[in-house]
Amino acid sequence: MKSKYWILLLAAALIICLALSLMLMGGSPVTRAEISSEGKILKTVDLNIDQEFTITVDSGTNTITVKDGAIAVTAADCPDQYCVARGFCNSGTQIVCLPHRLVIRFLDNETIDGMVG
Amino acid sequence: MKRLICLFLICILLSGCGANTQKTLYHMNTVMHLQLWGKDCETAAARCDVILRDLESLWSVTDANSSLSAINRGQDVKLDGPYQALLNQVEALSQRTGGAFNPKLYALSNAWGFYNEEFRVPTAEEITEALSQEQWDLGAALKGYAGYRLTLELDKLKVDRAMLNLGGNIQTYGEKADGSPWKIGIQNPDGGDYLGIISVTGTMAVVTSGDYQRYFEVDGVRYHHILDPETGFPADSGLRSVTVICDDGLTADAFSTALFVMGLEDGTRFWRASDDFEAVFITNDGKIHATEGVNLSGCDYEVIFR
Repeated sequence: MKSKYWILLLAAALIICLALSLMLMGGSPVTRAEISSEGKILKTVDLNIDQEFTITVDSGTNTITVKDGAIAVTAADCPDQYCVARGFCNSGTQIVCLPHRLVIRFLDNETIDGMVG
Repeated sequence: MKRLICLFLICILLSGCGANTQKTLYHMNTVMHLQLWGKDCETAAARCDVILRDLESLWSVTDANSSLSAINRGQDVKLDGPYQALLNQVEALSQRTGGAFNPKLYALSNAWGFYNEEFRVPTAEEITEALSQEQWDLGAALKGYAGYRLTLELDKLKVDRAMLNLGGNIQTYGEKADGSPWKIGIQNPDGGDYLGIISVTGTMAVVTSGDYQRYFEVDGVRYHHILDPETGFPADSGLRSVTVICDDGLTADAFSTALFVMGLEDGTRFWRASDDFEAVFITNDGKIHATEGVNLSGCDYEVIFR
């Protein structure tokens, strides 16, 4: 009776380990993005939930839209508008608004260590 | 006892992930993301920050107070040994590429408005005039050099390993904990997901030059920032991007620009005459060509043989 209990416990622990390792290392598609400025994380968003919001920092404001699993800066009062030109993305290199020092980074991209380009 | 072993296993699984220190920095008009593993990574990251700031204040072409701006004004600047060596190395690399990588195009980039964001297509006279002014601009080399410079510091501070993203340039340092190669995604020039994955081991620089990184459009025509020193116009060699893999960051940076200007055919010839780098070309029609030494996965591509 006692040994059965231990086997069950061991099996449960193993399943938890497996699930954790899959969650941490598995190649699940990107579903979240992190928005930061000056190295401080301002917000993380679930890309599966359509939404629109604005982020205001000292140097200006960016309107960010999440739609159909992708995220974009859809409006900004920055001079160069590079961030808006990127359009909707769901992975790849981070979206940057340099004048506002705003960075949108895709999370859970565990299959690669870095992006070049 | 068994319970302890289970707990121990879970701890190992959890601790194996994530950098000891992550830092986001803003230098050289770009965003840099440093990930460091090892003892005392905070100190090392702070040192990296200082080094990058110093490099920028020496070599920034947009900062009137930089040493490079003084050199461009014709002032007699006394450079420290390593910095004179950097300029000499940049000139040697330029010569090796037959001038396809030209570190003296500041006036030309300025004429196109790539520095003051007042984009415009210059006239033929303006281009001739700009090409005649040999003013230094290390924009196509400085981030690559910075990657190399940082690895020297990480060596000194005995950092175990690092993944340095210097505004789209990748510099790896050391081996990954599990001994597997560093996996680096190549940006799809059309945006979105990565196109393929390059695997590299140890300390290596991976640098991409692409027409999508900086550009403006006039009357439906796209003008990008990689200028051809022959024509004074954005290089039109049939490529969307070139990625160079090399153990020296400066060389990787300079050659990615040079190969972009050369195009696939001349670039292949240049690679065959060299033995110190590998390259991945993405052509206008979206085809990928990789030299035989590249470990590329996740995409279809043509191998370029020696």
